Amino acid sequence: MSSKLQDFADSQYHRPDAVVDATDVAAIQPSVRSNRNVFIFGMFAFTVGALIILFNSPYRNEFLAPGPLTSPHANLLAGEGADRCAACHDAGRFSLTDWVRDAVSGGSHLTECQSDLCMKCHDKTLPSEFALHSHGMNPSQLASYSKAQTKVKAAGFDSGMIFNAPTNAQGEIACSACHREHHGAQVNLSALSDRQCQSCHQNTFHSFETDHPEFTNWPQVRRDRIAFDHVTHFGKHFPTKSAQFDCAQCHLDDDYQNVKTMAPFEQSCATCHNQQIVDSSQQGMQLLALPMIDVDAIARANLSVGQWPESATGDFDGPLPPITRLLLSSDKNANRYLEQLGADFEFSDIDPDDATQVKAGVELVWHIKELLYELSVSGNEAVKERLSKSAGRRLSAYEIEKLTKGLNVSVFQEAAARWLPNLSIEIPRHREGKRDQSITWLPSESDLFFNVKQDEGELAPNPLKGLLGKSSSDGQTNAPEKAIVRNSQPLPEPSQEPSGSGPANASDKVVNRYLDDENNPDVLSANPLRGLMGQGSGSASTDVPIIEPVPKDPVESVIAPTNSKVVEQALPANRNTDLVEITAPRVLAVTADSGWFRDDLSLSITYRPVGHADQFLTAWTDFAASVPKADQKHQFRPLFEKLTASTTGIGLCSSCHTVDRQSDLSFSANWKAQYRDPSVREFTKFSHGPHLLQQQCIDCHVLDVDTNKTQQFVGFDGGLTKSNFFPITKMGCAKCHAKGQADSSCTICHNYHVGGKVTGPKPLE
Amino acid sequence: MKRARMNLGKTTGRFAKRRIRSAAIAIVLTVVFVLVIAALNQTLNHGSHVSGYVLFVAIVFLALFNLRKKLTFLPMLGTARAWMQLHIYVGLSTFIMFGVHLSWRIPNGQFEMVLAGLYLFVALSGVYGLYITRVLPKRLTNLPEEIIYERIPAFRKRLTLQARELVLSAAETSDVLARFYANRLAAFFEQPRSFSYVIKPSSRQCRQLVSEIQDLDRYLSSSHREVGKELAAIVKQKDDLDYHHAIQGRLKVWLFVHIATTYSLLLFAVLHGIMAHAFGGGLR
Repeated sequence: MSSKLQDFADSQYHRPDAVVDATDVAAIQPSVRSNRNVFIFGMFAFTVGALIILFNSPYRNEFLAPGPLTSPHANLLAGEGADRCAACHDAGRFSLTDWVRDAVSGGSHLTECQSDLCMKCHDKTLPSEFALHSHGMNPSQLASYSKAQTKVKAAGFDSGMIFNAPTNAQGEIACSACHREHHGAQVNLSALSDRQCQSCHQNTFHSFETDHPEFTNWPQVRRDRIAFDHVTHFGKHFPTKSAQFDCAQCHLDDDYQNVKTMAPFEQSCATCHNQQIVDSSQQGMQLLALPMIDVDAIARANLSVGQWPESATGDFDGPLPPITRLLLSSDKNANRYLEQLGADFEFSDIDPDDATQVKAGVELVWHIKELLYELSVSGNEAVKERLSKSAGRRLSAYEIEKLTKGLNVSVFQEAAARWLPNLSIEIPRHREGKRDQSITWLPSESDLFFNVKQDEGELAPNPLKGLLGKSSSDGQTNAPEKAIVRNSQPLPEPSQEPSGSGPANASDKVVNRYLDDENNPDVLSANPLRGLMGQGSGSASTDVPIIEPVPKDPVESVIAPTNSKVVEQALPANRNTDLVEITAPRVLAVTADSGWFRDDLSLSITYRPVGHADQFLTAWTDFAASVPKADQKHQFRPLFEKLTASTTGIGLCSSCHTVDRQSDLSFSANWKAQYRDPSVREFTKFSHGPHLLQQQCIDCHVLDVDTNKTQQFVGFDGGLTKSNFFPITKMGCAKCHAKGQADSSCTICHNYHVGGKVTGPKPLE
Repeated sequence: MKRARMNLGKTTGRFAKRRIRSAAIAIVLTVVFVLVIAALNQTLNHGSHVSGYVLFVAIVFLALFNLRKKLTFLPMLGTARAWMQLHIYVGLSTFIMFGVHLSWRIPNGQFEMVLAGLYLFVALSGVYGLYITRVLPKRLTNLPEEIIYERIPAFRKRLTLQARELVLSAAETSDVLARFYANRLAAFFEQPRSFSYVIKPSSRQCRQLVSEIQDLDRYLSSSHREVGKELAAIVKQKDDLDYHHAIQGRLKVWLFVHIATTYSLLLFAVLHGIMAHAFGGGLR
């Protein structure tokens, strides 16, 4: 038997070469430990070398990228160099040394954070100011929501959990907290789990049907903007007209089939309500009107109004149109008299024996003349200046364009030339304090009926043609019938007017523009468009004939009277006496088809609305509503009331379109039934499309036939009122959205980012 | 004898209790880790940041075991056996940490794939090392002799010389053993064993050679038969030596790759952490 190989008694047993001849090199082996150290060093050196090569090679980004980007972001890596990473990571612009410094310094070395870089592209769809705050909302606004609806402690996202959401001192949260990139092209970056929602929301939601709060009045959140009573229309009005009450007739799908939008007026309401609007607009809305003045009373008060149309003399009479009142109120002096006379003032309120009232009336007349002068000189610019002063804010050119709607300076110039030919002389003298007490040129009504210029004639159907006498085709000027003559007396021929008759006498014979309804068919009551649509001329009815072509007026500018001695005596020496013979009575002039009328009979410039959604009325309503306390200020109240009176207002706008009082005591007219923009994200989303595949409208929207909404639309409180429909309940949704059925996760109905624009095709207005 | 068995039983019982206690602590800490990371992820925090730090600290701790083995003069660091126990249980826990850190996904970035590959290589080699250090030493104790690994080449040389001397001494009267050595034993003694033997050591060749030596008895004189028996004993010693070399070599080599790869893993992990800070999404 051989002896043992290993002799542990040998003091040198651990030496590999101890048992062999030292000269036998083949038997001497390096120790395992030394071999291992060499191997480890070699391995480490290889790793370091490989990394140095990779970090300095063009392949660096591909090697370091933690994974492919999602498809929408994939193009960010389409370029070359470090910029590809730098589009989203500021570190991409720096070297490894800078990264180390950044890590050591606690993240203060790099300049731009990733969330800021995200917003460089996404500021188009997210409200940038609060984009990084929770839900992209103003924190204070969110806090108000939170207190009302959930137990979220908005300040600092104190969720009551062990860990809070990763917000900074400003309460901002990084984009990457939810959107985790580099996980492949098909990853849903916007996916948010219910548990993640509950990182901030304290209420525990195990499931929608058991833990979600009950809906409160959903979807009714305020008074309907359009005063439409579903109950009466369903139960009364539609059956009366044997019409089918079909939801889809008024509620249309948007492009996404997500939101039901209101059908336009023409499709939904016009059939029954259009005529009411047309009828209510017949009187039109005066921009400017010359009142009737009592010349005797003025003379007794030793005052003068200067030149004034003879046809506008008699007793003090005539309203002060709300727009005229508003334009006058911009002048401090005029405003003082307006305030003194009251918001409901009319010239008929002036007591001719009260010198104070007469003086106030005369001052207002001068201010009206000054207004007309300004308008004839500056046109809409004067309107802008005066309205800006009255409203206390600078009106934009766009607003003025809408408020004047095609009205230009020539209209005022023509009016001034016809009604007050000496206006351009009088006003400068009046401003200088030169008040000529003796000269009062009063053109008679016949002076106003001269030929109009050819361009006016082409535009001007004369609705009073039949009322004023015979057709102009007979070549004679016929006096108007009793409809426009005071005390039913026929209007004398101009040549028969008594010589030397003063203003007072003349006033007895002139046209009374404010007869009672029986005798004075409103000159605007007829629809001039009817005449244009083929009604016969010469009719005495209210149907308006088309005006015949009028010979060109040789006088291009000022039309002077021809046959009044009073006028001849009163004419200034330098007045143009190139007179024109009357060929046709003219009491009404129309500028283009803009809806404007210059009424030479009532001495007014009037706008007649053209139907539903008239831009002029909506513009003036919006303007008046924009002024805080417009319903209380004497300058604005008449205009505001005229426009917003639900049953008597012009155009009957407010009978359907409610007006809400705002927090600053201004008002907001609800021209649309819905102001929700489908492209704007809200907290709650709902798509009608898929739901209506399996259900009918009435399955969810159940009509409450016991409701009466009439009183809900009175006043300016736009708050929550009882709907015509029973509120939609949570259980109604939970019938399908329950475990094992339709998805009931938070993000099925709720958006995280709110307020921003949804990307995609623009929905229909 | 009875007392020895009782002592052995007590030792085994303590070992089992220690294993259960250590495993329980490791499991509890791992579960806590998983729950904390889950809570962080649910609150929109980046749990991967925390799990990454914990995983990195754990790997550094595991790497320090090698340093501890070199610092034998510092007893306050704890016994090497205690370190070994911690190394095993912390090492096994890192599998869970690693999975949580990756959210149980396969990384798809190249750098991260290399990093994950290095971790898995180190961790799996550690598990393999744990296995063979528990199994292979028992096999070695069944051998008649303990051999120091580093001296195996010298012993191999000695046995070869011994075999040659025996054969040469017998060759003066008969060339049977000499020819047998030249034809059958020279390669066995003078050449390294095959790779398949290193991977899976077997005594089959040894038995075959001993059997062949015994078969030579009919051709040998009685004195030469004794030489043949001595030669057969040397063959057995050589085979045991080769077995030692293969088994001990395996116990040595796994540590080669386990430790060497650990340093590469640490380097990649440090870079990964730096980049996670530099490129991570954040706020002002």
